[in-house]
Amino acid sequence: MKTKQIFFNAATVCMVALAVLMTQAMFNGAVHADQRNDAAGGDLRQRVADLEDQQDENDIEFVLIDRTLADLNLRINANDADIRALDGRGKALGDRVNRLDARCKNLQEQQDALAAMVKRLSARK
Amino acid sequence: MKNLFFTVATTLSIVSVSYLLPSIFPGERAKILSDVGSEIRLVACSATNARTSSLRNAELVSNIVNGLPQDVHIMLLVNDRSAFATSSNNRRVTFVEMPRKSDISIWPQDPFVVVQGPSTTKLITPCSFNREDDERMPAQLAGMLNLEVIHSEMHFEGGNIVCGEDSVFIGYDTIQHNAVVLEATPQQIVKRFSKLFGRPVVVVGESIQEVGHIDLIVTPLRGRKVAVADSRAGARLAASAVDRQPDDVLDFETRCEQMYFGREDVTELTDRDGKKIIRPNVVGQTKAAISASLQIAPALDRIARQLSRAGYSVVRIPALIPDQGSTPQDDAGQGTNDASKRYPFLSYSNVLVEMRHNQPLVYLPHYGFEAMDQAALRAWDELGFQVKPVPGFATSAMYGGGLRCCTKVLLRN
Repeated sequence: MKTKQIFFNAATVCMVALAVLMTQAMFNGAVHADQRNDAAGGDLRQRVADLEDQQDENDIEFVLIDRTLADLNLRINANDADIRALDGRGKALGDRVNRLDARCKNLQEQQDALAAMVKRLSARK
Repeated sequence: MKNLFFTVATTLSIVSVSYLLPSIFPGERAKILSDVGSEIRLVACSATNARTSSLRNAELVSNIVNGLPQDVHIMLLVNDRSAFATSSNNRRVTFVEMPRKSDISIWPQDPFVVVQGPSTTKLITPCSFNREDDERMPAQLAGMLNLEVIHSEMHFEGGNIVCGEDSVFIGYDTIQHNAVVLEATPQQIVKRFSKLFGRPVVVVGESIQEVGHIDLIVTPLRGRKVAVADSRAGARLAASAVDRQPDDVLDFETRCEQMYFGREDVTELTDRDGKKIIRPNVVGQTKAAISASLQIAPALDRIARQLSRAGYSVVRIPALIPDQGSTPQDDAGQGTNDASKRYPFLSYSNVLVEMRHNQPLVYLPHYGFEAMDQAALRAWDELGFQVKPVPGFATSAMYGGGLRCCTKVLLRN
């Protein structure tokens, strides 16, 4: 009877241990199910090494050149063109103002002459 | 029968406990990548060009790449690969092309954070990020490196988060902003960040931030040690330079001004929207920057005291901090609305730190203000760091960023 009891207890312990191991394995997987195994520690390092392998040379000095400096010149030239256009428009506007001013003076003179004529005619009466 | 029942009951209990164990004791969780740690292995940078951007940084990127050790690989984000040529095929730099017509800034630090677990690296992005097309950066990097991108519901910018060995430091504004937007208490927000980043959170500051991003003023060091910017010391150094080496200061100011658009003769440009960008007036502005530095000094002292109370050993690093408000100062130190007065933020806290060959090493931005650059170098040297200066940050600093802002460490050894 005692042997049977010991055997049974041993079997129980074994079952429990097995259950623990299986459950841990099962749920551990579930906890990390949302994580893709891209493996930062190892694989990201490996991917960096792969990227380096794809490139052949290893310069001591790295020089990055902006080839679009010409575009900067274009942008500056565009600005200059804008400024020139604005300047031209300003001059044209100035000319128009001067012309208007001259016309205005001319009209003023005509008005003065008419006023003088009216005055003279009034005096004859 | 009784024994059988007992066995089944015990087994079920074990199964239940085992199921709950991972959530009670999470074990080795994914954690935000620390700013302090072993050798830097992989860094992201971004380069803009004259065709699309007023702030061109090809030369600065060259300085950063050459300033970092040979075994550091750089992922260089570009939105127009054809705009760039390199001296030759360089093994250390991999170009990462952004989608055509996307517009990027030179600050890859901000649109995401890196979280590493025992076997995974993830890039966590904020709920929204509205600066040009920078929110596309993590996806492009992840595509190239086969990493996972997690879209978080939290709002953050990488520059307002720095990480020490044990805790992650987050600026007050980020906590408050999330509390308002997510309708939660600041304590709940801290808990959520702590869960997201896998580390305890220390909130930096107790009121609205005077400086937009804490990485300009706070640098975690090894152990429970933190470096906090000291703008009072910076103001003293700058004032002394104005008195003793006025020509050097004038030379610095003139270079900042002249090289703002990368060419001396360019004084204004038109942006994509047709708005004029005018070269800022820097000459004569050092005095105003000194005045602004003195004004902001008490706020930095408060942060230093707060971190000290939290159990950190605080050391100070000089900084010259121009006015951070919307009203830049005129010559008399009065507030003006003249946005054309833009002085570089001389931060020596916006650095990259690593342990290399068992020696603490700092990559320190230099701005060309000799007296300040040298004082900062001495300060880091006195802290026991080997200092590797990286030159050419004046223009970047006029837009408000230093070395850390221009980079994102993706992997450390």
